Amino acid sequence: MNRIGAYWPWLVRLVVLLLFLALVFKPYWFETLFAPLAPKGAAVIYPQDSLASLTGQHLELVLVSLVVSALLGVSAGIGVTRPSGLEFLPLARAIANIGQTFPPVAVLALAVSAVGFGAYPTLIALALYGLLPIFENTVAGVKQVPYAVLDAADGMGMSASQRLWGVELPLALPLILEGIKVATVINIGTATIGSTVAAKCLGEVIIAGLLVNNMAYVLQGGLIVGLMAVLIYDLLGLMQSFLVQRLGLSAQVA
Amino acid sequence: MISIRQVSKRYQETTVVDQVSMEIESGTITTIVGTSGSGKSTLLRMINRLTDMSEGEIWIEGRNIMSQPATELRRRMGYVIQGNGLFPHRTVAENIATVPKLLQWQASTIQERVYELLDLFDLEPKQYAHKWPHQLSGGQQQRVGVARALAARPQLLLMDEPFGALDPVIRHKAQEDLLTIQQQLGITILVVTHDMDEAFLLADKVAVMHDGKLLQYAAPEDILVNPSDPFCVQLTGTSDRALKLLSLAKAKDHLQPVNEAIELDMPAEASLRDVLSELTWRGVPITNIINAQGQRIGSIDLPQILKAGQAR
Repeated sequence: MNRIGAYWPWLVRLVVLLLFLALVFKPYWFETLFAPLAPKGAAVIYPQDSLASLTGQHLELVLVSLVVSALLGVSAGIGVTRPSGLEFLPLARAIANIGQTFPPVAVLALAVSAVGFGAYPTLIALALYGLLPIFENTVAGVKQVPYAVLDAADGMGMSASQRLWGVELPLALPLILEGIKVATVINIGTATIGSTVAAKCLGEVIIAGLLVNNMAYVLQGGLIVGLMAVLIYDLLGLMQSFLVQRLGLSAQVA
Repeated sequence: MISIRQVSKRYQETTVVDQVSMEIESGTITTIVGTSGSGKSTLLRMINRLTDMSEGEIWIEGRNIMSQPATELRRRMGYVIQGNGLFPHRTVAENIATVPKLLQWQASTIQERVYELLDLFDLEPKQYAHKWPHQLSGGQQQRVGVARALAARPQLLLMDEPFGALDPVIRHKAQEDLLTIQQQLGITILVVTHDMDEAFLLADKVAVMHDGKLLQYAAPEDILVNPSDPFCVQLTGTSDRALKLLSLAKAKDHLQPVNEAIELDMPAEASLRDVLSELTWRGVPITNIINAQGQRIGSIDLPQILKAGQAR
C-alpha cells in the first residue's frame, strides 16, 4: 500500500466523525437539506429536545446496559469454562439464547409491568439483548487458548486465578472484544425502541417523525444512530486489531 | 535423588502406569522412551503433579511430593513441553521471567537472570528480550522454552518431547546444547521421548516403558547388549545395534599407542561410530586421536572398533 493509500481510512473516519458531530451539535446547518422531507409549515429539525442531549442519553443507555451485560456475560463465560462450572454450560447457553431470541419489544412490555416506565425497562431489555454475543464470545475466547499454553502455565506453578488473569483472559480478550463490539452495535440500534416506554433517547425523534408524518425527523434520528453505530464499531475494531497484532494472534482470531 | 515407588495411574478400567518403581540419581539425565500410549508422559506428569497418582509415592531429595502445595512444588521444577507452550501475549523476557515473578523475586534480580539465560542460550539479550514469541524461529522458541524452565534455578528439569517439533538439523543442535547445559549446571534432567536415538544420545540411563510398565531401566549400553524384554529389542532395532553401540563409545576410551606413520587425526570426543565412518570414507584402517589441545594421545584401528561393537 502506498503512503496516500494508508491515510484513506483515516480520512473517511474523520469525515464521518465530523458529519456526526455536526448533525448532533449543529443540526440547523442541514436545515435546507432536510426541508423537502418535512410537511409544509412544520419544523424541519426536531424542536422538543436538543439532539445533543438525546444523543447523550442514548449513549448512556447503551453504555450502562453494555457494562451490565459485559459483567454478566464475561463472568458467566469464565464460570462455565472452569472445571467446576463445565456442567452449567448448556444451562447458561440456554438462558443467554432466550435473552437473544425474545423480541426486545416483548421484554420491554414485561419489564414495564415490573419496574414501570422510563429508562429501567429499556436497560433491562438492552442488557439481556447484549448478553448472548458477549457470553458466547467469552466461552469461545477462553476455549481457543492452546492446550500447550495452559499446560505450560500449570507446569510453571501458576495458581488457577493467576492462570485466569495472566494467561486465559488476555488471550481471550480479542474475541471478548468482538462480542462486546457486536452487542454494542445491536444495542445502539435497539435502544431506539426505548422511547416507546418513555426512555429518553434518539428513538424519540424517529417515533415523533412517524407519528406526525415528518420524514425529516425520521431521517435525522436514523442518521445519527447509524453514524454512531458505525463510528463505535470502527473504534472497537481498531482496538481489537491493535490487540491482535500486539499479541501475534492474527492466525488464531482472524 | 528422585525415588518413584510403586506408582500407578488408573482411569476407571484402564491402567496407564502400572506399578512403576525407579530411582533417579541427582545430576544425571534420564530418558523415558516408549511408544505412544506407553504411559511415559503420564509418569513424568505425576512427578510435578499435573496428573494425580492413583497409587504409590514419589520422593524428591527425601521429601514426599504430596507434602506441599502443587504450585510450590512446580515452581521448584522446570517443565518443558513439545511445541514449547510459550505465552504468546508476553515478550521473550516476560516469558522467561514467569516463575521468578511467581516467586516474587525483585525486579532487578529478575532482569539480571533473564539476561543471563538469554546469553546462555545464544540469544543476544538486547535484540531478543523484547521480541514476541511469534517473531522467533522454531529453534529459538524452543530455547526460550528451556530458558523459561530454568529461570528459577530448579534442580530438576522435566521435559516432555521437548524437541518433537524441531526439524532434524535444529533438533540435533538442541540436543547437544542440552547436554552442554546439563554439564554446566549439574542439574537432574528427565526427558520423555519416543525417539530411540535421542534417548540414547542424551541419557545416562534409559527407562523403557511399554503398556504402562517399566520394562528396563539401565544404561544405554546395557539396553543394547542385555535387553531384558523382546520389546526392548524391538524398540532399539536389531539391524544397526552394533552401530548404536559404537555411537555410545568415545574414542578416548579405546586408545592404542600413537602411530606416527599415520596422517589422519580425529578428536578424542568423537564416537567410535564417527571414527568408523571416517575410516570407511577414507578407505584407511587406522587413525590417530588428538586431544582438545591438538596433541596426539593415541590411535584406533578397525579391529579395535570391531571388538567394541561386538555382541557381548
